[in-house]
Amino acid sequence: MTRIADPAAGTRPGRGEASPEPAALTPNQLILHRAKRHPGLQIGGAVTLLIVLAALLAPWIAPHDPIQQDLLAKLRPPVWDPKGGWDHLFGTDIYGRDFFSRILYGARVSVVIGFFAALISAIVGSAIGILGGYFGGRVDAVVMYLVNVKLALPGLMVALALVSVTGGSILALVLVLAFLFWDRYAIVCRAVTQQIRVQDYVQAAVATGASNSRILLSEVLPNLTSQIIVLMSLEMALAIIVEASLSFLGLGVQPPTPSWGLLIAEGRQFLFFKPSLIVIPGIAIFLLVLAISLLGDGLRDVTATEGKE
Amino acid sequence: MTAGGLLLDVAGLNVRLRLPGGVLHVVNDVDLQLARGETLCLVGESGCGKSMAALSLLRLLPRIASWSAARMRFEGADLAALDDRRFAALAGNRIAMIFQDPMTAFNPVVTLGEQLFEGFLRHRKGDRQAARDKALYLLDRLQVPAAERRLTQYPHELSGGLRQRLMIAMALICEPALVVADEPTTALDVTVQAQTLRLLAELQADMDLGLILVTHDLGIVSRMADRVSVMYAGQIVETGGRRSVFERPRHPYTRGLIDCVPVPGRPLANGRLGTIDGSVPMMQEGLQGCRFANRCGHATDHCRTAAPPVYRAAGQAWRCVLEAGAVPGAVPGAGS
Amino acid sequence: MSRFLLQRLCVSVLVAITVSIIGFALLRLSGDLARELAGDNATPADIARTAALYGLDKPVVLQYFDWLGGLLRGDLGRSLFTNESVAVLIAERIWVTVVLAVGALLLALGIGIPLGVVAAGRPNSYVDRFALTLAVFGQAIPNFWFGLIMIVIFGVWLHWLPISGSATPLHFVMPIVTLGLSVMPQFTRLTRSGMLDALGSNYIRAARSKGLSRRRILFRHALPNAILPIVSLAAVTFGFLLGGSVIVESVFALNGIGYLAYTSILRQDFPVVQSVMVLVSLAYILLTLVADLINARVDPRLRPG
Repeated sequence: MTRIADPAAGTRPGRGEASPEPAALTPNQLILHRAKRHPGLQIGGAVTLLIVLAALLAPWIAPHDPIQQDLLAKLRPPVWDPKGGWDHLFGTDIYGRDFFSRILYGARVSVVIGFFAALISAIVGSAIGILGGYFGGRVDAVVMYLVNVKLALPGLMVALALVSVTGGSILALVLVLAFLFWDRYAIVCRAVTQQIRVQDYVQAAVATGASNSRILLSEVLPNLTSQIIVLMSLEMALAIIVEASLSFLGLGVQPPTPSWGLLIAEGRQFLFFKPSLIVIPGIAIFLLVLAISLLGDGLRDVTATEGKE
Repeated sequence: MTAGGLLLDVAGLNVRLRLPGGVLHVVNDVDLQLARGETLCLVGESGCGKSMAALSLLRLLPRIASWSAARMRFEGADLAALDDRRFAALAGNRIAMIFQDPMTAFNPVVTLGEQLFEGFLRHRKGDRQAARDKALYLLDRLQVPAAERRLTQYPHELSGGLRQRLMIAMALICEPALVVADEPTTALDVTVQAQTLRLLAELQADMDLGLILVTHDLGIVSRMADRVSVMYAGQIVETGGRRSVFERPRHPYTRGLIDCVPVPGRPLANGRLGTIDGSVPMMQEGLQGCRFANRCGHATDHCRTAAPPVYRAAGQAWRCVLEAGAVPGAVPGAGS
Repeated sequence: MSRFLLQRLCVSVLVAITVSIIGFALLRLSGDLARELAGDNATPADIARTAALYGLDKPVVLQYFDWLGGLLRGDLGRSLFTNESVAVLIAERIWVTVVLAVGALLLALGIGIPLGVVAAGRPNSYVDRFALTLAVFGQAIPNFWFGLIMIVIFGVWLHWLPISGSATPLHFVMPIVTLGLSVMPQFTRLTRSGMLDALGSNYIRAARSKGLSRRRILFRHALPNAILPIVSLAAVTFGFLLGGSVIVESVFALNGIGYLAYTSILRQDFPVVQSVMVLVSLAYILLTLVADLINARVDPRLRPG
């Protein structure tokens, strides 16, 4: 497989030369080298991992059942308030449900929905983009037409309408979110594929009779993977925010399943005298999205191939 | 080579690049000396450091680069000691640069006229009319057709050859004393190269310019140079007058280069063009011995362990022990 | 250039038609719209009557062309719930959304571009890190939450600003700030990366070789090159703001077309939803065409000749 823009392209030593080559690192070594020096990537990765673990382990580490109501324990304050207690770390909501547990389970919702939405839109969008970029001509015209239609649609409104007709199931939500984001992958993959297609080594492969699918798999796709992964992390962050927004508006995850956006909507009426009910879930969203964004940005910095050196 | 009154006197120039894998020493102990009206050709293959050496004269090195020089005098004054602000008063004014690729060296969204005038307006504080007159005069000397119209056009509207001529005009508009040209004709068609160089040489004679011409093309060297400096792996391996270097090259690399180039009328030794086996070494710090040793047919063990001193005789200097004994008056010393 | 423009125009018309079909079909995807509208206790007779009342018993294709015909004549139908003309409903509310969108865009440009320029001028400095941090934070904060926090701080604790409605200009301050800060990060980043690209280019190196001042290099040489993609982004963002202001409008109780669409979707008020969606899409299509025109004017490489 030939790689584009090998960042470590340098001359090799001749005979009788002392061995270490300080500037000639392999691409993977270069990525690792940069990753060790990238605080954003490390912090983002660590926090993301932490939250994902918390989300996955929620059934085991949550102190209470998140949807269990206890009307005698309504609106208890969080532990840092003098009237709060350790049995309800973040206090309780209007129905007496333990807020900490709801936040933990909310993490599950965000992580799962965000990840799968990003994954599905990555697969669909990249495929469309690659096909358009590779085959050009009429195929590309169709691809560009689809992308333009998607761009012209008011995303949030369409999402709201789709959720209202399909109901608020998690699957429907994931598909709707996937529909909102596929165009970014399509545009990027199309552009990169067009560049790759005109490279000499691809022309050579075509001339020697390699099948299209072989070329796509062995030449085009590997060069795209790092960009797709970067996009996935950035789109996942966006998907989490949009899911929270939809849930906030009541057209996302349906109660009693706790989504952070839903928690904010539920806590809205208590905005003035119990702000912790909206502050905590908001901070949770902020932290997760921030961590994933830092991770994505870090991945982009670390895998960027040098054009200019 | 006149002693006092040198236009440019650089000794011990070093440039290092800080890369992820380590530090590359791309310009190593380079000397450059030039008198007014003289043309010095800096010649070598790709990657030998000649462009970096040229860029360092105008402080245009990339951010990852650091440079130092034992001595850097321009028109008698210490160039290295100037702070950036005072250096900027010299750049474009007394020292100018001509770049390799005329397409990317011009700003695509600014008219050519404005790009030509702005150096003049900044340094001469004259009016636009004076700048315009000067520009049109230069364009006329450079045989640019429809010069007035060119000034209102944008870079992408011109052919490569015309763009390069405009770049020459842009560099010369303040009548600098020293011009550094980094492979000015490499990006041009062969047919246009010769004409462009001829026009440049004419203007140089008119203005008594000192010209440092960086190139990899020996043909250009044979046409333009008064003096030649041959660079290899960051070092200058041979310096001398054009004639001496071409007729009596002292360094095996220079000899190899000359043998590689077919010359009409000169019979080939062995009936074939010469080649130089092997490839350029990586330029990391701490290399032992002569850098050319791994490709030199005459290399001894001594060559591989001890860096050769620079020998001088009769206006020529070279970094090789081979002919040290054979040349009368050859004296070893530090620096090229 | 005019051939290119003609091509763009044709594609735009095709896209507009497709969008109108999608907008029309969206609420009908649930299956039987008449049953949804008739309510839970409806008998089959009720449903049939509902269908006849709203023209839902006609073949779908006929319904589409009826509506399209009306659209082209300026008759957008009537709301199912208030029976007001949809056109009137939209006209009453669109100015709120436009004010919001324009204000947010101006804020985003006014802060984002200078921040990006300064950050690019001193890469890896404190200013640069601050600008990037602000950008990353800005994109991570959910705007509806930020709006609510602003309400608590500025509306309730400090009593500086009104917290709902659209009566006075002051009512728009918090919504515009909320929306503007949420789109600002993209402009900061784009300006910064565009400037960095420009500053690393050969023509900037040539400009430095002429001894030009930092200010001239930054503003006369680098910025005009960096600004080109920003024009496109601004147009696209404006289109996005027109359609995406739903959340901010609902947090601040602003009666704009976003909020109108939201409440109409909840009530399955399909005439309103269709028209609003198509309107916003048309606005977006128009804006991208305008952006292309501006680019063609501003970038000499795209002009004919």
